[in-house]
Amino acid sequence: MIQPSKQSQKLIAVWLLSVLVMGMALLLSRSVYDPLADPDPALQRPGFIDAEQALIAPKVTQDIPGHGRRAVIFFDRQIPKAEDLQKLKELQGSLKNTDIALVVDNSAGQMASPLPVISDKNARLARAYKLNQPNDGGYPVGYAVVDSKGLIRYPTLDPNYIGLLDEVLTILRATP
Amino acid sequence: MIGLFKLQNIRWALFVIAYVTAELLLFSSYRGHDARFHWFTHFFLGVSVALIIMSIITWRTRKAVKLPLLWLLLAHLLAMFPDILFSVFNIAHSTNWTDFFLLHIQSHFIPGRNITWYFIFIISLGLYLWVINKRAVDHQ
Repeated sequence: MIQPSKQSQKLIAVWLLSVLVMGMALLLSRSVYDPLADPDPALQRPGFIDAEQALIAPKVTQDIPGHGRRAVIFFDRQIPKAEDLQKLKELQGSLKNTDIALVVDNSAGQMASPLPVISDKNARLARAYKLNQPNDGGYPVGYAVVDSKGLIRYPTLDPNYIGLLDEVLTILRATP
Repeated sequence: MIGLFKLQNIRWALFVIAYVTAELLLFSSYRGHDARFHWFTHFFLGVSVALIIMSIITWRTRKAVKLPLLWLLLAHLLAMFPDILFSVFNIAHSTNWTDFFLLHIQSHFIPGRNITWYFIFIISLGLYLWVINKRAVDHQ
């Protein structure tokens, strides 16, 4: 029987170690469960504007999305805390030609808000805005960016959208 | 002779430590952006491309490339470059140019996702090590 040389044994050991370490790391990374995340991580916060499959955005209020204006429609299970609402309001203040609205699950209740808050019965708006159902099957948390032609260009789940408003700004900068 | 062997081993160990540290830093740069998924995608793809190119060079020249870990790191950086532009310079990806960087967008949508890239990676690594063993006359 031919015995592999010492060098071959060393290279085989390197290969096996790499296969094992990277395989374990990958398995470990996949075992972390986030109930609000997209079941397909490739579709969550992809970072590019969808130019080909854009659909016309349905109105969430009489004026949003407005003609010739961009919009960011946030979706949440409940109305965010007052300080988070204030951050969304400040975001709107820093933007030109852009409206912001908040759509919440029908069961979220009511509260005074500096932004338009729309109650979404049976997730009809969330579906119309192409937001995927998260891992736990509940109401999606994320946002959709609408361009000035009224097309949905960036629908994504984002359980931490309040903490990542910079990213919303980056996407808006790239949205016509 | 033994001293030289030890010196070479120490040099290799330092390279590996530096490489792993650099990769950990890249992983941490994704912490706000679902690192568990994106780091793996660009790592597997970038490294696989580097391994295949290194295999071809080694096959043709019969010499192992110098600093192979640097090749792996640079290829990974190339694959994730649009993410650096996004997080550091606030430049969104675009279907017009982002795929120039080792299919940066399309690589996320391969059937099987990162599992597929993992198998491509282990095949590429196997190929590279096989070529090193068979063709590189200078490899010790």
